[in-house]
Amino acid sequence: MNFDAKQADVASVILPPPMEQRVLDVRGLNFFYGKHQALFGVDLPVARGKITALIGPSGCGKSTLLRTLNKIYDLYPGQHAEGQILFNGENLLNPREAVEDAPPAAGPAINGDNARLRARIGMVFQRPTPFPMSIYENIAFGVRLHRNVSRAQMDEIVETSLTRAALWDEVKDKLDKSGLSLSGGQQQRLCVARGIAVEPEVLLLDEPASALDPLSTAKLETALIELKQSFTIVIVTHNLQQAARISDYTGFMLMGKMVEFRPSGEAFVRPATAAMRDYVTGRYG
Amino acid sequence: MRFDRHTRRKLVNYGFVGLTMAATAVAVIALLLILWSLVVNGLGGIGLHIFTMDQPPPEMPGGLRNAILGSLEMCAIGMVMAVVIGILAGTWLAEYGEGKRLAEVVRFLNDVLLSAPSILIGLFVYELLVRPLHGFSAAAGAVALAFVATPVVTRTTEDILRLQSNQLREAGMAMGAGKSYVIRAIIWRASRPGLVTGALLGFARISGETAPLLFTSLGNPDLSFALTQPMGALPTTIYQFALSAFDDWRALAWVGALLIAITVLAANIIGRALARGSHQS
Repeated sequence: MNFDAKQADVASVILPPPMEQRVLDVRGLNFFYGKHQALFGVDLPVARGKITALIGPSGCGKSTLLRTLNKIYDLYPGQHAEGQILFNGENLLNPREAVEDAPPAAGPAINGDNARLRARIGMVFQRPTPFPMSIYENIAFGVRLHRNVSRAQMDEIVETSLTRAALWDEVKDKLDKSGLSLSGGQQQRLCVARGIAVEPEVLLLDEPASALDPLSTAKLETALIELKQSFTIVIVTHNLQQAARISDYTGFMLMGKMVEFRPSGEAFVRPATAAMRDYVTGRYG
Repeated sequence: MRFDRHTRRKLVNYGFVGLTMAATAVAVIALLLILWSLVVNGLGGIGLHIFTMDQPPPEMPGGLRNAILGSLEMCAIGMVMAVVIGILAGTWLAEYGEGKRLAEVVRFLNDVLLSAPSILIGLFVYELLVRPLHGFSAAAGAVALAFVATPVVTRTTEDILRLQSNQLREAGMAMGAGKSYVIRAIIWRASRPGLVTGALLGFARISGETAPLLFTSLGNPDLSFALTQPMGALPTTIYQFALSAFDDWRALAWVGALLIAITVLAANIIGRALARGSHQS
């Protein structure tokens, strides 16, 4: 299908990746902060080994959507989600529901166990959140939660994770220094390294570059593009150039709804909906 | 004489600044006078004998060893109790009490305890431990001090933990860790300087407390480490000596007061320095 900008003033356009490529599939998701509904029947198909970007104006629900994927909202009583988040052959929101066309299981059943879920879907936050311990221990923290490894294995995991997050060369001589002693950009890459050290299938990033300068942002983006060889990435960003530069699919959200979801190349060159066109050209709001 | 609006506002402003400065000066001058009189009256009496000899009978040479060591022992035991209970209670309030009615009640009662007259705490422990066990004891003194310090530690613990960002908690949980593990391994660690500060402030608070000890550890002119026996302490010895008619006892009371003041000052300064250090990192 090809969308012409002139004929495209439609309410919503969803062009998902084929079913067999999906690793995570959100269908008809409603989300509530207490009584306030923040997401309305949102669909989000996430393709394996790709970068999916979520864009949209502040308050459109993109971070909320991201936070449902690893169920981190669980921490707060009063927040709840309804609908389907299909992963590993299960509906994360209702482990007992029988789902037929879900992305197949690639590991042991999750069965509503948040620890197991979060070992497979990692997250990096807006502000760098190094733990108050050494760089080495920051990486080891998550690994120890899920696996027993020898010191030698751990050394190797620490090195590979930091290398993949493009941080190894900068910190290899000071692994025993506090993670808090690093610069903001380095801290954020430390958080990425920490996230991938547990070998998740999916890595969620919530505006990871919003607190970083352009140079640190560039380093982080390079790391992310390398990482999609091994991981599926979902990234929330306010930076449209960033979404266009690194993502394979882009979801544009507005007022708690998924308005447009398409391969990024087409979506940014010729937005199909009037809303996304206005947003991308800076006419929104 | 009439002023225009602008001049009047300026004058009011000067007047207000003057008032606040005067009030500050009164407080600072009072503190300096207290310290000054402690130094003038106490410094001359300080010597090695203060730390090597026990408190003397009237008009005999002596020091304050029994009182210093007694104070240290009861304060240390009291602080262990206060830190354990206070940190756990403060953690519950900050991390688990959110929006719970019980947490509001506990917080309110803790604030009441924080400002309760310490002589009431002394009487309470007297009824709790001294009367039932038929005797004054160092253990009762330590418990009374713990009652005074616990609300301080609870309060600072809650405040300090609340300073930690929710994103740090989420980051720990997002790794797959449970809530209590995140609190113990990440939040407590990030708050360590603040928690130590809370403990030091609690220690500063109890190191000069007299009233809770009068009905509990009573005082003991001889050196004793037994928890089941009455025990000397600096504040009770000062209380006894300062009211006496003997010049050398009163001199020792000044020395004891100076020692307590130095300890409290040091604990406060270290506590504040640590708290400031934690904000910078």
